[in-house]
Amino acid sequence: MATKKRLILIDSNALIHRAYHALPPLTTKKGEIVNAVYGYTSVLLNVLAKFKPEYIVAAFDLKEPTFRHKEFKDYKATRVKAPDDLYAQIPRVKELVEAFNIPIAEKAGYEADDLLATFARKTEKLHPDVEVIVVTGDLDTLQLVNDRTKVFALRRGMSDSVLYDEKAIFERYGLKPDQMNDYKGLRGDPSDNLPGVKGVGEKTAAELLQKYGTLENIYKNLPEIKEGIRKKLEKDKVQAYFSKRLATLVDNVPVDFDLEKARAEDFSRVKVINLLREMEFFSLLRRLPGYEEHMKDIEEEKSVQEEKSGEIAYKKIQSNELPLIKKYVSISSDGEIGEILNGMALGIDSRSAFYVSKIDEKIKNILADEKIKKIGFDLKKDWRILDGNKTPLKGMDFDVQIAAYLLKSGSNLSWEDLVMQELGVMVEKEDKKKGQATLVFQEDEKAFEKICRRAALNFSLKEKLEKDLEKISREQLEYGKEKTIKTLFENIEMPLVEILARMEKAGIKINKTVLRGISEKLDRRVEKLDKEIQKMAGVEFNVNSNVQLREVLYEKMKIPATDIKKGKTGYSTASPELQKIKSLHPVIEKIEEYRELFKLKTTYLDTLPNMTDSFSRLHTTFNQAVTTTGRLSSSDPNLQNIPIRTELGQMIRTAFEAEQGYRLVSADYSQIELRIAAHLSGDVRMITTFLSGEDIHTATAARVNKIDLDKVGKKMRSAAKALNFGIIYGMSTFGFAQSAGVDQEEAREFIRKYFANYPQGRSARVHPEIFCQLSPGGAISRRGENFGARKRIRRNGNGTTPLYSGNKLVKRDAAQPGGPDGGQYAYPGPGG
Amino acid sequence: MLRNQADRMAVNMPIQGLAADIIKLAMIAADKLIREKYREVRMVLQIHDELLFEVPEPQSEKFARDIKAEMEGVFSMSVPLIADVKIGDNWGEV
Repeated sequence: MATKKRLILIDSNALIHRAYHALPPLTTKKGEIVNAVYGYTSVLLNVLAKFKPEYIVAAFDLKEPTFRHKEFKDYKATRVKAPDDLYAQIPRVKELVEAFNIPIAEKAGYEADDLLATFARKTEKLHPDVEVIVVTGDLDTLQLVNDRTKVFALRRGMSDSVLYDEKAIFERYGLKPDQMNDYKGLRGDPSDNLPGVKGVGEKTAAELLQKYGTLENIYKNLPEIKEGIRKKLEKDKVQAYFSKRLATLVDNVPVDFDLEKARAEDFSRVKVINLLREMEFFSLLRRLPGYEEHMKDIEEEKSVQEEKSGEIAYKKIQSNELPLIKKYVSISSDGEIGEILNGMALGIDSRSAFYVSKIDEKIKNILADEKIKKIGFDLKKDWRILDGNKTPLKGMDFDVQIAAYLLKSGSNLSWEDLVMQELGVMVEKEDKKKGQATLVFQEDEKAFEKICRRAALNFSLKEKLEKDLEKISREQLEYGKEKTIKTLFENIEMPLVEILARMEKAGIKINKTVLRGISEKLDRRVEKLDKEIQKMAGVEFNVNSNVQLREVLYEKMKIPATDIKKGKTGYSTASPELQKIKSLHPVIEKIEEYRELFKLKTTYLDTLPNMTDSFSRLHTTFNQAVTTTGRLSSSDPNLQNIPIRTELGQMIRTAFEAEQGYRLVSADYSQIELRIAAHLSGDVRMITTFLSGEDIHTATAARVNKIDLDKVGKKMRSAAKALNFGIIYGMSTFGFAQSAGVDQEEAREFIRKYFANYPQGRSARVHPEIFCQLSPGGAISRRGENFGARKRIRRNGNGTTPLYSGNKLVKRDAAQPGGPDGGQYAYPGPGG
Repeated sequence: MLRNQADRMAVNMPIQGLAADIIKLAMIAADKLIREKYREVRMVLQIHDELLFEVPEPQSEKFARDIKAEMEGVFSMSVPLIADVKIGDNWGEV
C-alpha cells in the first residue's frame, strides 16, 4: 500500500489508566507520582515514531457524568474509584500533550471514545485518503475497525501492543468488528460493570454471533437455541439489549471536527525537553524525535561561546605543565582493571581538566597525597586500576556515584544519566566495544577530551551533590537526629571504598579440583533427575526447553493451567507459576530441583574456575551503590546467590579455601534482623527473650501456642521461625504456609495468634510509618529513618534487588522471607 | 500486588537498612583491628551478615576472639548483637 496519510486518535483516559496500573509508582525527587504520565509519553513517542502521522488528536474524558451514567446507575460502579494520585496526573498529561502541540478534544456528557468514534466516522466520510488509527489501552473501540480504521491497543502491561484490523479481530474473537457490541451485550464487560447475559461466556457469545450475526437476530431465533442457553437468554433479555446499547460508541457527537486543525505540527523541543526533565524522564528524552540534533546545536553554540570566553580547558599536557593542586582533584582513569593504564585526567575545577598519558613521580605524589582530596565516579575502580599500575591512590574523599546513591537509593543511574539529571548536560552513552577499541588503539583527540570532560563534570557533580547532602543533613538535624546522611556518607560509605577495594584485590582462593569433583557429581544427579522427569512425563523431551516443557506439562500430562499466567507463546513455565501447581503432580518438584541444580552448575561450578587469576584466587566485585536497602551486593560472580542452608551450597563453599599456612575465620551476625526488629519495635517480650539469651523461635512458639518453653516441639519451633521471619518481611499467609509446611487455614490461625501476642509487631506490619517512628535516635542512617514517607518506599517497591527479593536460590533461612511467591498473593490482614 | 509489595518493603526497609549499616561499621572496625594488630590478616568476603577473613594459622584463635568482640560492640541496641565465629580450612567448614 502506498504511504497513506494517517490520523492518530488517542484514547487518553484508557491509556492513563492502563499505565497507572501497569507501571510501578515512579516518583520524582520532589515526590510527585508520574508513572501514568511516563507510560502515556512512552506510548506517544512510540506511536509518533511508528506511524509518523500527518494528523493527531488526543481525546479526554471529563468529570461530568455521561449519558451512560444517567441511563444506568451501575455503570462502572464496580470500578474502584481511581486513587487521587492517578487523577493528579491527568493535568500533567495534558500539559505534555500541549507541549507536543497536539490538540485536545473533550466534551461534557461523552466519553473520550465517543469522540474518537465520531472523528473516525467523519474522517472516513470526508477524507478518503486518510487512514485512522485509534491508540488505546482497552478494547472498547474495536467496534470502530473497518478497512480504513485500525485500533492500536496495548496488551499485557505496557510492553506489548497489537494493531487490530478486521483480520486480527476475527482471529481473536471469530467476529466482525461491528459484532463487538453484540458480543458485549451477551458477554457483558466486567470492567465497566455491564451485566450482559449471566452465564454466557466468551465462547458461547462468539458461537451464537457467528451463527446468528446480531443480538437481535439471536432473540428472533430463540426457539432454535438449545435449552440451557435459551433460558439464560430469555431471563436477561433486557440486560443484554441494555449492555449492547451502552457498549455502542456514539459516533455522532455534536462537535465540529476539522481535520486541518488536527495537523501534527512541529513542536517546541525546548518546552517538551524541559517538561520531560522536570519529570525526570531521562530515558524518554533520548527517544524524542530531533532530540540529539537539538542538543548538538546547543552544545556547539555553547562551546563556541566558551572558546571565545576561554573558560573551558581540556588539555593534554606533560605533568610539569600541571597547575598547582591544593585541595581537591577529580580523577578519571583511562583504562580497565588489570590493564596497563593509557593515561588519566585530572580535573582541577568544573571547567578545566588535564590529561596526562604518563604517570610520573609528580602525578604519583599527587595521587598518593592523603591531604589532596580525590573526587570521582566509582573511585574503587580507579583505585584498582591504579593499584594494578603500581600507583597508590589515597585521600578518596567524594565518590559522586555513592553520594547520588544515598540521595536517591535504588535509582542506580549510569554516569551519563546522573550527569543529565543533576547538571542537565547530555553526554552520549558510549558504545562499549567501539569505545574501548578507540581507547586502546589510539590516543585520538576525542578519547582524551571525553575523559577530561568526565573529570570536569565529576567536579560539578560533587559541588551539586555536596549541597544536596548538606541540605538534607540540616533538615535531619533540625528534626532532632544526631546522625545524618552526611555522617553516613563521610564516616561509613567513603571509608568503606578503600576497604572494599583491598578485599577485591585480595580475592579468595578457589580449589578447582574440588569444584570439578562437585560438578561431576552434579552431572550424575542432573542426569538422573532428567530421566525421572521424562519417565514421569512418559515422553522424551528436553527439560531445559520451555516450549517442550509447556507442551508436556499442560497438554500431554494435562496438568490444569487454570491459575497459570499466559505469555505471548502460551502458558508460563516460570518458577513462580510452577509453584502454584506443585501439589498437583510430583513432577513439578523434580523440575524445580533439576533447574536449581542446573543453574548452580552453570553459574558456579563450571564458571568459577575460569574466573580466577593465575594464583587460583577469585576477585569478586563489591557493589556499594546498587541495592535499595543499603546492603552491599557482589557481582562477577554474585556470591550472595550461593544457597546457604542446602547441602549443595555447602559443597560449593568447601571449594573456597585458605592459603597454605592460613585459616579462614568466619564471623557471622546471629539473627541480626530479628534483633533489629525487636529493637526498633520496642516489643518488650521479644527484647526480654533476646536479653535472657533464650531461643527466639522457641519463645515465639511457646507464646503463640500458650505452652511452656520445654513443651515446644521441633515442628512448632520451625513454624514459629518461619513466622518470625515472615512477619518482619510481611510474608503472605500463602508464603508462610509453604515455608512452615502447614496448610493455609493453620497458617491464618497461627498468624492471628502471633499478632495477639506481639501487638507491637502488628502495628509495625500494618502501619509501617508507625514502625519507622519507633526507631529511636540510635538508628544511624537516612535509610533507617526516613522511610516514614511511604511514597518513597513505593517508588522503590519495584526497583533494584534487595537481599531477599527475586531469586529462588537465595535461601538464607528455612523461612525464606519475602520470596518471589509471596508477592502474588494478597495478604489478608492479620484479623481476616 | 504492587501495593502489597511496597508494604512488605516498608517494614523490611528499616530493618535491612540498619543491618546494612551495622555490617559496614563492622567492616570498618575489622579493618582498623587488622591495621593495628594483625597486619597479615586479610578480610576477603562479605556475604549477607557474614565477614570472612584469611588469617595466619598461629593467630587464628586470638583473632577470632578479637573480631567477635569488635563486631558485637560496633552498635548499641536494646538487645545484644551476637557474632558467631568459626575457624576452618575452607568456607564450608566455617
